[in-house]
Amino acid sequence: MTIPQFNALTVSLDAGVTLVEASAGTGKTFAITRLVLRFLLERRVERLSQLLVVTFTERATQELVTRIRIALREAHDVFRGVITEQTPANAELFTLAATHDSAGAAILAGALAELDGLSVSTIHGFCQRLLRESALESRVAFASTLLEHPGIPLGRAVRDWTRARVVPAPSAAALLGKDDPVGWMRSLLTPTLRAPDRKIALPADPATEAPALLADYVERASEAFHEHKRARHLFEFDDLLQQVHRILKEEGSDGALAQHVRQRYRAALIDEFQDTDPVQFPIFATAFTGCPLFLIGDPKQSIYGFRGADINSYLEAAAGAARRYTLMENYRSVAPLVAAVEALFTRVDEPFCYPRVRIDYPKVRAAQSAAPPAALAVRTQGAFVWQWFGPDLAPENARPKHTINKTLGLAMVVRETVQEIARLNADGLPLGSIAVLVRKNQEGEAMRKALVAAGLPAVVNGTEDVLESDEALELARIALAVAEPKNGAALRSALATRLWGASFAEVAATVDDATSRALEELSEQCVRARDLWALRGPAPALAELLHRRGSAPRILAASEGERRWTNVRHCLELLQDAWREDAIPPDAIPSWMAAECEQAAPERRELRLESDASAVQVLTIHKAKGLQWPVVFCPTLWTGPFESKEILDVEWVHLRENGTPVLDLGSEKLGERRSARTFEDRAEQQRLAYVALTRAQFRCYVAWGVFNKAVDSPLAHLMGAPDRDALRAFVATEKKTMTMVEAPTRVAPSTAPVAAGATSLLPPRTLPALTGRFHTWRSTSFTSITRDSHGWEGRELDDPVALLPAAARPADVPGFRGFVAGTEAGNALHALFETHDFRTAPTEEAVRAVLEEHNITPPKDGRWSVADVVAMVERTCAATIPDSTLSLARIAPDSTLREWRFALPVGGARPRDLAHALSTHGSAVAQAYAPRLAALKDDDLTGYLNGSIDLALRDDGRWWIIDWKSNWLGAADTDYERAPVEAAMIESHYVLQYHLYALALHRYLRTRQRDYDPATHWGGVAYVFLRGVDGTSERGWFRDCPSPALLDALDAAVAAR
Amino acid sequence: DHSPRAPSIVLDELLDHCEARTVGARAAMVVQHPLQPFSPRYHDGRDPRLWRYETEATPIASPGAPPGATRSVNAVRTLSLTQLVTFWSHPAKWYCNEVLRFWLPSDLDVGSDDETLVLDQMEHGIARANLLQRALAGGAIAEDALRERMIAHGALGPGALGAAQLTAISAEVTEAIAGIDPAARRAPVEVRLHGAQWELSGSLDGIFGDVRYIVRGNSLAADRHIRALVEHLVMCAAAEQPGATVPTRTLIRYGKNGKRLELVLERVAGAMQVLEQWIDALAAATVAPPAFFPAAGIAWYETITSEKKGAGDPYAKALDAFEREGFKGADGDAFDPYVRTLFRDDVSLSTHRGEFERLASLLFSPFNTRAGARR
Repeated sequence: MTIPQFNALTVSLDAGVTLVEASAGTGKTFAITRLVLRFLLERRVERLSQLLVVTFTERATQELVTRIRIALREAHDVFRGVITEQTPANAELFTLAATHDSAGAAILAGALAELDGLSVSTIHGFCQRLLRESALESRVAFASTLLEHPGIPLGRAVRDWTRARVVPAPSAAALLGKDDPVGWMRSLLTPTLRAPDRKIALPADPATEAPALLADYVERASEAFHEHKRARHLFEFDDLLQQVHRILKEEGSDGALAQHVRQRYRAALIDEFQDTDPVQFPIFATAFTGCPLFLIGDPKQSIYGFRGADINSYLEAAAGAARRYTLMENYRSVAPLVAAVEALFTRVDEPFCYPRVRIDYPKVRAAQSAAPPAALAVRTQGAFVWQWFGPDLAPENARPKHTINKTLGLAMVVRETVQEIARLNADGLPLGSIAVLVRKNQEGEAMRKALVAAGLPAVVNGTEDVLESDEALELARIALAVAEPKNGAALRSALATRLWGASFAEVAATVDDATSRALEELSEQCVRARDLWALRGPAPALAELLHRRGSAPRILAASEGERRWTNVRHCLELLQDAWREDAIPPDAIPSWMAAECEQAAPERRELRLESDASAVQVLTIHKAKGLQWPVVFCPTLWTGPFESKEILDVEWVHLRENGTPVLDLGSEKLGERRSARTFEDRAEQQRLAYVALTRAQFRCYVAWGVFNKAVDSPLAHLMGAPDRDALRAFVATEKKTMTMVEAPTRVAPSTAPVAAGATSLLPPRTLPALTGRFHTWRSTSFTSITRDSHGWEGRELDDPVALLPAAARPADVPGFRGFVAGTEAGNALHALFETHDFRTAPTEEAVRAVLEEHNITPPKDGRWSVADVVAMVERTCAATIPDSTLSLARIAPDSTLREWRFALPVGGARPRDLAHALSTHGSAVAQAYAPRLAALKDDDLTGYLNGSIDLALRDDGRWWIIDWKSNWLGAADTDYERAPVEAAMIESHYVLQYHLYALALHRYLRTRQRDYDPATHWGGVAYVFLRGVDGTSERGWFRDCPSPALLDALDAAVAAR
Repeated sequence: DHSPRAPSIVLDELLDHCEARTVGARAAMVVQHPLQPFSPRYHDGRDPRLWRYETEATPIASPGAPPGATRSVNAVRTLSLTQLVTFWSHPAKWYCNEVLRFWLPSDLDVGSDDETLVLDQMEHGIARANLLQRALAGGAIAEDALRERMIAHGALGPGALGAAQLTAISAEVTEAIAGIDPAARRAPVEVRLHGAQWELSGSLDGIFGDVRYIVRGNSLAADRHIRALVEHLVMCAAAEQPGATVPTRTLIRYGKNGKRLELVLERVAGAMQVLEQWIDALAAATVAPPAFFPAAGIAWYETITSEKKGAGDPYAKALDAFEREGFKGADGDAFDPYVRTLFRDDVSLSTHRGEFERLASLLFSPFNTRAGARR
């Protein structure tokens, strides 16, 4: 089938679908600008804003706006006679000017004046705007928020499914074995997650229940994920498309939404249409019924299958187009290169796997007449250079038919690429003119490292995660030293970082000398940094530390310094953002990083370019789409597709059938579907190869050889199995355009593959994350529930002293009440009670030692002394707890649980449920507190609630919970009477705290205490405000005893909903 | 996506307008700031419009002292068997923990507050190791009370999931110890060895009759493999003591996916002499980080002891193991955080090849006989 050539000046602008196929480099953006001019000049649209231009990425929208603006201005100048010289590039403008009368200039002037109204957007942007502008027609909630991290609720949905479906079912649990459903998310769940019409095909007679279990997994986890979004008015970009598609499908082309679109826009130009999907085309086709709709794309460049692009949707739309054209002139590459690529892609009948009638390789003419850079003429080579890698490169591969394993092969192609780039650079070619295109980020990082090691600046434009870099790990180590500035091991760990830069001799010297200057210096700086962290955040704190150390100039002067220092700055920004959101303390940095790394890296975590200096660009083929360079290297087109693995011994496959996503878990059609999927994967990798091979303007290098599994690669589809003679014969037939270079033989890469340090395959980012043990998002704590309710984010609840005006601070009061304030003081007092035998009096030495451990020394003015602390402990132990007969002085250590940690399983508790229980069954204080609890952020808790009870004890068969409080309630005795103490309990949410503690102990006793009955076995709860206890009165004490009914009600409130 | 952003239409129009009036106005008005604040362009003075308050990058320092050596060797060294094992099985970690005395965040027990549902590889390994110990000691491994206790401790998932996990692990354990008679188990042997300048103490468990068993329910990781070799040599050295009744044979049994493999280590002659050399190596390694890497080492060792014809070049295999990348993280030595910490300026095997091969020879040569290691 011959498709007519596209001519922007003559193509019909009538209503209906016009398809324009634009091979790589044939100037489709240029064609779009000419169409825009014609739509304006021929009054098909009254104003520029009535024209909708849609493209694939934000970056492409910016480029299109600029190109359209330049075209309008240039045309305006031609129409006005400002430009009189005709060139091939502006010839069409002169033709237009000759066709249109003087009114044309006025139209263009008007368009220039309203350039801001030009609608160039991505399809998601278009749908978002449409839904916003027509909120009533589209029936969407007004206050919706974009879901930024879908991985978090999705992971949560999967774990909830595991809990609900597997935990109680022995057969499902036995099937699960060591598999982790969270690990199936990406492969099994995500491809159909956002497709409500998904179809799951199951075997008719399954041998096990595994297929049904997996189907249940996909259905339920998907539903839970969407329910999460619905309940919170969250949306994803794909939801916008689905919503618009659904309404248009329901209402048809005469519906309110379609009419709204057509009132707003009279015509649409859809760029990059090959990356469409089953939802996108129907949206445009319905909304623009009766309007001109131009679809511009190239099926040979459809490479975004992993994002949902569906080549069959494109092909179906193409088949139904009223008019179809192709662009036939290549403005990017020189003629020999165009000819070479054509020779390669026309070696086989179906270069893109599909029949040519569906995806053809149309012949294009080279319109590029620019002369190649002089550097490329230094050595005579064709425009298309084959780098051949034969089996005789490695001694152990000496047998002729032996293949080169992948690791070795990558090392070899990296080395050859680096050496050739070095030669080109020596010939005078600027490094910025060169790009290396790879399939995977890891390959890119290996390439970049090798180039840098060879003294050739290179930058990676990829998706590496900065939080997995060495620098992130080092900052975490320094943060731990900031968290514990007196901890020698933490300090040494920080000293030994590259960022701090101490030599190992210096670090080792601190082991035997605790007073070493290096350790002291870092310790003092960490103390200051800790304060700064609390006040202003991690970025200023860590930056100050590194600045004092002079880290920046030292790192920048070292190898890869710019890369490393860019990572440091990037990490600091991320840490500061995290601190702003969650007041993240220094000791939580490792766990925060680990939790973050478990989510797919968003764009803000991608490695940033470290330099704008001339450097080799290393990037994935996907990122290279739409871009061009004078010289391009394609070193890894010999690698094959990635294969999916069985899950629970179930063979499965994902694919689209007639636009519907299908997950086949072993039906009778599995084999057929697997073949179809393999075909689609291979077809897409052919298109990927086409994109890679068409980026160069003057020269393209391709590595090919007897690599292991190269027969599955896109090059093998075109060239057949790797064969030196076959390649040589092919190059001989194309000798005007191609050259074959055999990589130097007998290099013995097995013994010195990295001899120049240039081909190490070690991406620095691939450090293992700080292990999953740290990740915390499914657990919560009392503090996190109440965090939003007070204005002093991140402070410990035990430290409200810091909030008080200076005039009322403890420093003014003598005796123990004037004991130092702060978290450390609280920790010291807890430590005292944690180890103390209540039946004995503590010694001054023991108390002093504990205080010193926490860096607390009595004031020189004698305001309080160690003796005061000893007396306080004695008073507290001797006192009888109000409204009871309990005195700590008679409690033996073996009747106590100290710092008892618990993890309370909760299944969907909400603050208002707990508040209801308190107001219905609680004491007077609990009832008074209930409204405050009900007002907390109503986010449900599912998972585990963590906590630590200072002291649980058993006295005469009854259990008590005791909590030590170092809070400062005031200077006077009356400040510690019952009323102010109760007020403090309510104000600080301690009422919630002790009820949760009581519930944890209640559940514990229920499983451990024989014949447990709360009415018999419960003593109560006592909170001891240590600054107020006088040993003779109730002052300083708060006491309550949650009733059995309340405990049951709380239990029910936190049980699974 | 790291590409330059076009200015807004209004700004672009303004600049075009200025350029149309005065040639060169656009270039004069637009200041192109370097991408990074430490760019040399801020400091080279070529464009006076480029300046910054931040001066941290102005002075370019020398790269700083290399990590370098640490301290001299102790005259007399007292060490435990655990230290010797760690030195060989994870030298970088040993150096950080024992010489520099620090731990990386991944090793610090910050307490897991994550609920256990599915056991990760480490949790599974710990549970299996504990059950193996219990089974070898003759204890039951499938009883309800044990399961409930493990679930309560978070060693297994809740409910039926925990039961299924225990069943699976128990099966692995049963398979691993099949044929070993718990009744033949001997009490752990206390080892006390003395060299010219060292004392080594520790205990060896897992002795059944006249064979010491190392049983792994899964694949034999590099560090575990090395540990077995080191302990075997120590056992052989202990057997050289007068009146010793220590066995001199180790049988390493491991398996994966139902396959069981056994590796027999026979008596090493002159074990005390080897031990002398090993401890000399350990002492020397307190001065500078030892360039020995377990995964690379085992690959090297397996190649030289392989009975396959044309097993390949041991260094090439070592390099492959050193750089091998696994799924989500990696299993090659080069990805180990301790290795990356110690060799922070050059994480490559080629730089340290000589030292690596010297230490590999020292460690493995006592076992380097094709007949000595059979499967």
